Amino acid sequence: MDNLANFLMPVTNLNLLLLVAIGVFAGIYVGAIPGLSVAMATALLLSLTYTWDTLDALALIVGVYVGGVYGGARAAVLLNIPGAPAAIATTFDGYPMALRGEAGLAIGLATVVSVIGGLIGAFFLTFATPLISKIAVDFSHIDFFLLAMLGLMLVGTLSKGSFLKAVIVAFLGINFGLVGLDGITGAHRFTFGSLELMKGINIIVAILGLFGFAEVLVQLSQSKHFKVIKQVGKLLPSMKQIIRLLPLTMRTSMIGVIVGALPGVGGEIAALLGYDHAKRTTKKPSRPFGEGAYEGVVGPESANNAAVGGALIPMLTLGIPGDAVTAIIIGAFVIHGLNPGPTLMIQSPEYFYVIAGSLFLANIFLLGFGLIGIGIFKRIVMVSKGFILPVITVLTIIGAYTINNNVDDIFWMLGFGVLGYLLRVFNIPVGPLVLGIVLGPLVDKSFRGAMIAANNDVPTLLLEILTQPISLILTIFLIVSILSNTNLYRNTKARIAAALKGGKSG
Amino acid sequence: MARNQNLIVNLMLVVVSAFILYSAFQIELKGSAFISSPKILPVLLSATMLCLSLVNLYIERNKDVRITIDSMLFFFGFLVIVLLYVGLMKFINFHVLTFLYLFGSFLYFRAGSIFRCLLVAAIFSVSVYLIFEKAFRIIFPA
Repeated sequence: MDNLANFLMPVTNLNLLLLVAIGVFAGIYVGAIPGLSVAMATALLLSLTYTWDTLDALALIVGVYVGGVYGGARAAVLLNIPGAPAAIATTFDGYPMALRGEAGLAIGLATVVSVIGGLIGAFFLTFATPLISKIAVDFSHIDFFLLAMLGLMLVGTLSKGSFLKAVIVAFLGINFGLVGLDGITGAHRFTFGSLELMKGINIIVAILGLFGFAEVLVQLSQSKHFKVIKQVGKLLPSMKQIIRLLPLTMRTSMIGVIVGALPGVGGEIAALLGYDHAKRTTKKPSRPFGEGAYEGVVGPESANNAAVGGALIPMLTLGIPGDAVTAIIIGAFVIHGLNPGPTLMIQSPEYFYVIAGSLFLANIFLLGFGLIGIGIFKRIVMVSKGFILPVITVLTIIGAYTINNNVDDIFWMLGFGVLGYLLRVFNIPVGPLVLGIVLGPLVDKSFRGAMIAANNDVPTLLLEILTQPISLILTIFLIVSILSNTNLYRNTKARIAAALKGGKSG
Repeated sequence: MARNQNLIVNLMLVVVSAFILYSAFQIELKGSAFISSPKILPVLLSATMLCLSLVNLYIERNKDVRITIDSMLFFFGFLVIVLLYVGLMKFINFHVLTFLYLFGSFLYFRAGSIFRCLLVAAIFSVSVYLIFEKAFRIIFPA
């Protein structure tokens, strides 16, 4: 009964209701404006809301998360520029629809299927999380270590650019996460005698730099101007269209939930897989794919919003972020004195149920807010970068300063910004670095905990891995994810494919 | 910019990895066994980083990537403005400084007419004051 009351709290508590609504509304515009990312907005919010009540802060962040993931579709349709990475696949058919005078319909379709996908994601979050949490309580130290490493490897596998570099920066991130005094022995790690470094590197400062200021620098180095489609046309899809597209929406939403739930994999991959599924399984698309097929908008948009609910599952059950935004939400939990992971559901289940309720509510608000304000949006995206970039810089600076009221944190943020910029221009993924910083303490604690449990004996630990089912499964997944990036795997796969082809033709 | 920038970045990865490995070895054991000590993970990870960065250096030895910054002077000019803004924060009232920074940056970017830049800078600075100082009660450095 308490759980139901907590689940309904975002509806019954006016404060939470308003915060979710504001979050969704603001998130749509943040996600829609190229250059403003959901991760950056969440990081900013985190620094500004850390004195708030935890539930208020979480309600606002969930609202921004849902609105932001959806908002990217608007810029994708009207500008052919994905407002957020999760909207990349939406440009493939959304923009061609706009060129045909159906920008409104593309946005309307994107809104409706995003809401359906988001609700499916919220449903799975609500019902799967308590079950997974029960299993996760039995996880040993080594299981957490393996799971965290698996998350880091998956990010490396699925992010763009070199896998080797992704692993290098992920490990660099773990080392960043270990800077400061060791919690067990009090040993100094990478402090170089600095008092400032003894406190460790603040996760929020690093995230603000890597996502916020780095984005400013990337935008600054390109002098692109945006052109907006002027004709919007009709907005709402007909009921007949929605019913026809519903089976596809359900399937791609499921893909979104599953992909989103993989540690370290976000809406971007979910959307691309959703698009790929729509393309492969739709026998008679409304138009050829790439020329404004409705199915080409439905696939990615339902998948990326469903991935939001999916991404929250590993975060809440295992303390492992599903994507960059959930990595930041983990930061929100930590600064509010909470410990996301299997014990959360036992010690403070109310936070989970309020998050789940907020997610449902946010998707309902999305249906309303998603269909209004397209005219305002067109004006906002036309605002010169000359106004937007200095303003974003001020916001990231204030965000970094407010964490500890310390000017030195701003310099750290700027430093991480330059690092993030360099990584991006050299095609080195930033995601693994951030996940490494976030997961560093968990990786360290679980690895050393496992060694101590095995009496510092490596063969005993290896035996445990081989004899415990969860550990064994995770190890196999980890090995497969690493091997799948080697030339040996690619060559073998190509040889098998060639042999099969030869066999068929023969 | 130098020609093979990718080579420089890859060499930097090797140097950074080697430096972290060296620093990891400086971590004290504090009475614990090496295998479960505070230095085990940094040593293992940085050693792996060093090996992988050397492999990467070899694999990408002929790959050339160049940073394309449309105007280098403009790019670094803005960085200098930001550093000045942060550097002066302890000495000049934050809101006055934010107004000056925004107005200067808008002009630097040629975002609009002088009047428009002045107006947007003023509106945003007042908003920052009301939201952050009055509503969130943040105490700024000066």
